[in-house]
Amino acid sequence: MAQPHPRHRIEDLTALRAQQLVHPSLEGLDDDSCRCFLDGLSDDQFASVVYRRPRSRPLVQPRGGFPTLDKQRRLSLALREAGSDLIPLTIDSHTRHNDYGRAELLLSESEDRNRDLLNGYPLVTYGYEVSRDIYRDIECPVSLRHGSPDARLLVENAIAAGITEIEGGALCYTLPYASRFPLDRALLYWQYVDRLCAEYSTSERPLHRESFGPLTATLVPPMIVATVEILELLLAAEQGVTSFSVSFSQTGSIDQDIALSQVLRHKARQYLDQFGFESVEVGLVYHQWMGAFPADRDSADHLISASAAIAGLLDADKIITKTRDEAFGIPTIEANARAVRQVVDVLESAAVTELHSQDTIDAERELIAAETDHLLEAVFALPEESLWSSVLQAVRHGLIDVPFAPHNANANRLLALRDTNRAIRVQDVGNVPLPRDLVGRERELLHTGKPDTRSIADRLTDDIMVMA
Amino acid sequence: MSRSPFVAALLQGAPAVNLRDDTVARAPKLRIGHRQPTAPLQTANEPLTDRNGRTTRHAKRIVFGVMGNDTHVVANRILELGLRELGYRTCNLRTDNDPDDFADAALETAAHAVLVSSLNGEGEHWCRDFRAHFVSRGLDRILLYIGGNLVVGDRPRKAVEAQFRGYGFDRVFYRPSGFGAALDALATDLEAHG
Repeated sequence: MAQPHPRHRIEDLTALRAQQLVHPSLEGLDDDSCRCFLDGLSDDQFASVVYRRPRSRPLVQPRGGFPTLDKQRRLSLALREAGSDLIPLTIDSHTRHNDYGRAELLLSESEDRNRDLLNGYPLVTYGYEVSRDIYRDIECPVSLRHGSPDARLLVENAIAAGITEIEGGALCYTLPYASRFPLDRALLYWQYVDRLCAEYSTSERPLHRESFGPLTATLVPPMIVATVEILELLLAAEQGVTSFSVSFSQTGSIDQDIALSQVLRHKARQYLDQFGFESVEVGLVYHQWMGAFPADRDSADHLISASAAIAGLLDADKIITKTRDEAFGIPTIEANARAVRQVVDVLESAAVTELHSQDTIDAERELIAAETDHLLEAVFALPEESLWSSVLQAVRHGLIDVPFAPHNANANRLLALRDTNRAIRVQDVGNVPLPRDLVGRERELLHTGKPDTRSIADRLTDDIMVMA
Repeated sequence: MSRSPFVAALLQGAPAVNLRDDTVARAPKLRIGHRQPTAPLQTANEPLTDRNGRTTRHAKRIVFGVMGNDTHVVANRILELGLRELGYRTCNLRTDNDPDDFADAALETAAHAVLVSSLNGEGEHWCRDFRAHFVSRGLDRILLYIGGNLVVGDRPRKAVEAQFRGYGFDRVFYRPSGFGAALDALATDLEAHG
């Protein structure tokens, strides 16, 4: 039995940091110089400060990363100009997986051939000092988007470059992104990242952490999203993080989106308070549709507008945008800026007022909340000595099971399908410890309406391709 | 529901997260010793009925997985469920396999057929002499299928299919629009094989 507790905090980060600080990308960096640089940033550059300010609509943030510093700067300026409230720095996949040598090689080839051979910005290759130049005279927070099971060196560079929001977590950045990276190491390496963020936080200007709730974005039941998000929130709180966002992606059902957003907000607060982390502030981030995107650009535009409106309806703190070129690969600077303008327009024109609670949404919320409570209690009840090892065992035993995750430790037994209202329902619960009445309720909701004669393989394909 | 070009893309291997900045990259190479198949092996000595009570005494054993440094798993998982629904005994090797992994699993399970998917175009590199490799391990009667996005870039279907049949595959499904054709062919071939 292990409950979240600050006694699991890393005591001496200095010794662990010494191993990272010898890396050439961090040359010249020490604790004082990093602190001094952060002190010199304006309030406007701190994500946590921006989240606290009153506002009439969700903040808007696109994604984006290019191999060269010059193009990354042009992208950042164009996105700011288009109305982004936070600017992204998306990292290439070789850097994400600590293959810095390959990133360096492909960066120099990208420069020589004037072609993008990396799918993001190789921050470790450039190093923190040079990268500060991207954000010269840009007065808004920068958010680090990556997908690294081991982000220690990357985050050292990011914070030293003035990036004040760090996305990721041990579950959300390992299970969907890697097949063999050991999950126990990922959990410990993310403790490092959380502790590092906490050490460079002040009470007025904390560094902000965000979890990646979409996971595989492929038929993941809301209870799994909520469980993973709250566990990562608690793991960060243990290390002293005081500003955190939980997130999820558009499910395909508006009812389920609204219910899940309410559960995430409510349960995040409840569990923080229950374990003595009252001072932690929590935001809610909504990702526009993360599944297969329509190839037709007009349809893609409609999907983007619709999900912007949903973000307004949920009163999310931030929306992460997509582009009409999503189906074709990495969008151009122009397409990305266009999408930001589109989302800002929808949010401002369709100022959504309070939604009156409806029976279906209430029922949905009760169901997700009850399921999430059961899963979290099962994790806390495991015979382990700390939360991180309980989380590890929970994955290994299939208590947490993310559909379609490539990771070897993931059970892959849980199977979900869409019901007639497109809500995601559990067909086979696998080892996830849901009580019988809740399993029955999921089944019942899935099987209302006409009996489905399609094969499982066809149904799954159709349900995954629901928006495409 | 209409099958958009995206169904094809999906079945060729939409990555686990199908997004530009969430591109699922290669897993770090952490091959240590011999790898255990991640799915429980069902061998000939297992109970004669499955958990739904259906007889599996005569069920055929199928080994399948993704070839190469490739973490595309969506189609692999759908195939697993499709095969199980049809009553086959399955051994899913999931991702990051080389020809030896397939041959080992086929030997261990006394498989009737091996289904290889290749989704990022690495198939061409890995699959030369695939049949010869199996024959050298004493597996000369086993059915070998391959499907997916088999080569890098765009090439004529006929040429790609002929090329992979040349490697010794009994059936080649280049950029299929679904699993129907492969599953139908599998039933026919297993029947004919006896």
